[in-house]
Amino acid sequence: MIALGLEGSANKLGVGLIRHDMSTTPPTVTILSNLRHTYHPPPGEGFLPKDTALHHRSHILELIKNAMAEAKITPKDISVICFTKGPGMGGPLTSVATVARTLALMWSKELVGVNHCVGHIEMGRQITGADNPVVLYVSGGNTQVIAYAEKRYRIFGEALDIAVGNCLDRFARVLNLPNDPAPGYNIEQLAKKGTKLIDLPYIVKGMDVSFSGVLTYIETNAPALLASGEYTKADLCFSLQETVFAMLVETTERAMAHIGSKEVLIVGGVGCNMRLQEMMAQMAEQRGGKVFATDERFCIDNGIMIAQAGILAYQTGYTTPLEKTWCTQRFRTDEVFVAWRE
Amino acid sequence: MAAATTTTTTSALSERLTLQIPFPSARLAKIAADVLDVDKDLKPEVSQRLISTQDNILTLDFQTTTLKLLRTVVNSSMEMVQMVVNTMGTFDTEAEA
Repeated sequence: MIALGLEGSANKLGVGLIRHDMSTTPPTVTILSNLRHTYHPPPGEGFLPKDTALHHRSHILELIKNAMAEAKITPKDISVICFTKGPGMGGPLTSVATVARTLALMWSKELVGVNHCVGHIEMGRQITGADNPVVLYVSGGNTQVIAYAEKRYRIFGEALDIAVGNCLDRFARVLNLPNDPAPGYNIEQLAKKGTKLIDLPYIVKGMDVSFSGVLTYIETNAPALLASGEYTKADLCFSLQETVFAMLVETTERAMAHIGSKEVLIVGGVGCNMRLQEMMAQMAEQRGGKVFATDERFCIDNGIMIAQAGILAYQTGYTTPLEKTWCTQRFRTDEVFVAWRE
Repeated sequence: MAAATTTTTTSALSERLTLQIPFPSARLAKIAADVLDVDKDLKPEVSQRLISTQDNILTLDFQTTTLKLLRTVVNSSMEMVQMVVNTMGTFDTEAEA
């Protein structure tokens, strides 16, 4: 069976087509196409809901056409249409869901509304083959430490205020770094040239983390630090990354210790960051474990992860009736009944 | 005891606008109506949208308390109508079994 996946909860618009060949056990999974178009605001700015929704509406039809052409499929080949129900930004989510609904009614296909976080997790599992890892989900909109137990992805710890990616993205605005390809990517490149570690607020509360304090501190003090001539922008980027990533490694390790797990799976856009992967690997190896991560095709928001999580639910008999295909900005990861796992 | 419901007198929703949008067929008008109707009014006490079809005509009836709200809800509805129409224009297959 083939699933179409549509994703647009933030500034990345993703369309993916995935095939599950049910004749093998387990089914053979093939990615038929995975296309993305990203909305980049000018340097110094963040992406606002209205502009982001307009971007998605402007590009989605072309993206779907191209995805189907690359996959060499026609509407009759599609078994189910999957879309992001939430969490995320309201206007962008609804713009994409509107297209999903329209196609479903025109082509007489079932719909599956997918939780964005579960999409990340399921694609990470599929690509890496990680068996039962502690999942660190880190992006511009989400920061959660997750582990699977009894049909739910349980949130062990999370950011109490803003996501780690949001902290990084907003600091990139202070430095006027470009948003293309992503502000976090540009911070990562600049951080590689940093040499001095500035003492920044480090806030871990049990299993949870907090980033608004370190963001306020570095936003407030960056001009003076740079003007003093003692520190460069690279030093600031380096210090911020080292601090926030150490916080994430600490809470991930705490979860691993509680569960007795030896595997860490990092998903979400911030998961592309090589320094984070490196720091996490150092911790995991000390515990005799290992880190799983995917490349930018899958850790950055994409449509194929929505198709994957959607098709897994669909295979258990789950569909979303039309009247329930509304979108929601808040959608907890543990709200989803993970029927497809033991 | 009957549950309390909020009723808004028609005079409170004094600003009105009706849009009638023709579609190539009754089938497509109905699809558009069904797609749009999933997203309910956020604040029905100040803004209501009624969706109906008559043959190939999609009718959107807006009632709001203020003109500013009317502009906002009509604009955002039109953005979604446009999305539906463009999707139909790009992809419709009449001959779906």
